[in-house]
Amino acid sequence: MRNFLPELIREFRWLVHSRTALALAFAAVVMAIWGAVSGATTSVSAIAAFQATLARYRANGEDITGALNSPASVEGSADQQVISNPLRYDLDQAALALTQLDPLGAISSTLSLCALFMFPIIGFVLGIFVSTHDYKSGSLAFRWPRSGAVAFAASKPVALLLAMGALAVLTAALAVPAAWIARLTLAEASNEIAAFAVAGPSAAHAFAIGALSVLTGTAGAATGLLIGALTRNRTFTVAAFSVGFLLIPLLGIADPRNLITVAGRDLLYFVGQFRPRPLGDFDPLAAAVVLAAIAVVSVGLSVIPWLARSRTERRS
Amino acid sequence: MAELAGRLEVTGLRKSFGSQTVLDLDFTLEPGEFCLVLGENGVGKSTFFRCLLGLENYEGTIRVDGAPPSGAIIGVLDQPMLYPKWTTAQNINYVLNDSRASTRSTVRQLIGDDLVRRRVGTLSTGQKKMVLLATALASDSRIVLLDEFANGLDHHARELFRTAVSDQLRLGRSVVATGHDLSAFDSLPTRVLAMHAGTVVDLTPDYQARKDIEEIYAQFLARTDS
Repeated sequence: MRNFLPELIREFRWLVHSRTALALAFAAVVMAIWGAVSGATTSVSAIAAFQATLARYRANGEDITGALNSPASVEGSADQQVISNPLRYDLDQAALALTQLDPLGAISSTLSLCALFMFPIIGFVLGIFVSTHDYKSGSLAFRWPRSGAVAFAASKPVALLLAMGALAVLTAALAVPAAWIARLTLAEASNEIAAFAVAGPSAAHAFAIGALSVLTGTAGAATGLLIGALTRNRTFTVAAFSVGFLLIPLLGIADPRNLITVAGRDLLYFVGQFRPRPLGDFDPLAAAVVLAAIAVVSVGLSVIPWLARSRTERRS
Repeated sequence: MAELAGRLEVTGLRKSFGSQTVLDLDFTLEPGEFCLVLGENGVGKSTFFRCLLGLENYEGTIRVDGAPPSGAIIGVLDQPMLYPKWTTAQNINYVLNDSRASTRSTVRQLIGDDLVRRRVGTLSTGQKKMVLLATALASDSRIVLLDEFANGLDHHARELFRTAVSDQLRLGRSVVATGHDLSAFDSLPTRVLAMHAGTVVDLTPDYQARKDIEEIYAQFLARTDS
């Protein structure tokens, strides 16, 4: 393992030279903007709903001050809810939506979107490319004799883990200014309900969401590493995974994607209509452990094809 | 630079694809030797190199100075080995894992500033080969393998190649080369082997007596064909 650190550095050289690092940085910018736009859209919608309800109360001559100072309650199932005091409820929803544009709320909501949708796919694509770049370029014939099998195989998952961690940190860092800009556009509307502001997620909560996003990204990356080692194919595997991940509905409780929603059940920060619903009543921590186990097993299995098969294409 | 001298010892190297055995040989290379391996297409020269580099699984033992190679052997194979969209400097720095590797004197002896800055995908076959050679020679590996290397090199590149390799041989580095264009090697070889049916035949005594590789190889082929 004395070659491990040099091989890790080499893997990062690839990330920089191949401009994959640049692509990841661009993805972080896109996700931060996506998070800010999503937060702003939800806020605008929630504030508009509150203002519409307020106008209705006024038109009906109802007691607005009394309604605003009384708590709202929600009863019934998720499909059929009965809301008492709709004015206060809409106010609470608007105030809650605006927390997405606070620094910790922006980080939490953006990384929640990333943990659920983007990081598993980005991780998978990254895993496929990290797994196959030496073979596809032929540079493996230079690298393998110098690195040795163990350092070669170990450097890749560690590089992926660090890359996903860096991506999460960068996305979180960019989410704050993006949300700040979005908030500026809503200044007038948000000032109206400033007196009713509610606290958003705590720093610990935001950190936990960040950790979950790194976990889901790394699980995707480890899966990509294994698939890449087995198939040595990029186009079909990336297309198939992306389409399958995003377009095929959850197939049941055994669907690996359900692990993400279960693990994030009490963690993911979504305000508004969208709520990922986990299938089955499983322990979130257990789901996170299973995700980590999938990553570890995938990494372990990805070593086998490298050891068993020829490391380059045979030409003679 | 004495650390560049290395003794290669291959014992009982055997490689099969299915039921067909393509390699079954023993081989030793002393420090400072240039060994030319001849053979028709498909006799296993490239497979031999890939085994030496650990790119194929094999039976037998390969040792450099009595220890497993682990980086002591570097090879230029007859296949793409560089990232075409990267510059030459980026490729060299990546392979040698050193951000200043492309400025090493061994590299600059073979490739100029203009090539270092260009994308590999825009280089000619001969230029790519010089980049590969520069990368291999700038490494700290004691054994250098050159598979079908001289094919496609122009006159100037051949001169550079012979000068650079001669310098390395004087430092004690050992080189094993294959190729069909034998004139490119000029007087570099100190040993000449021929591969046939997975084994090697030592033609060095003939070569030392006559120095005409083309004729020696033609006679070898005539003997093996009959």
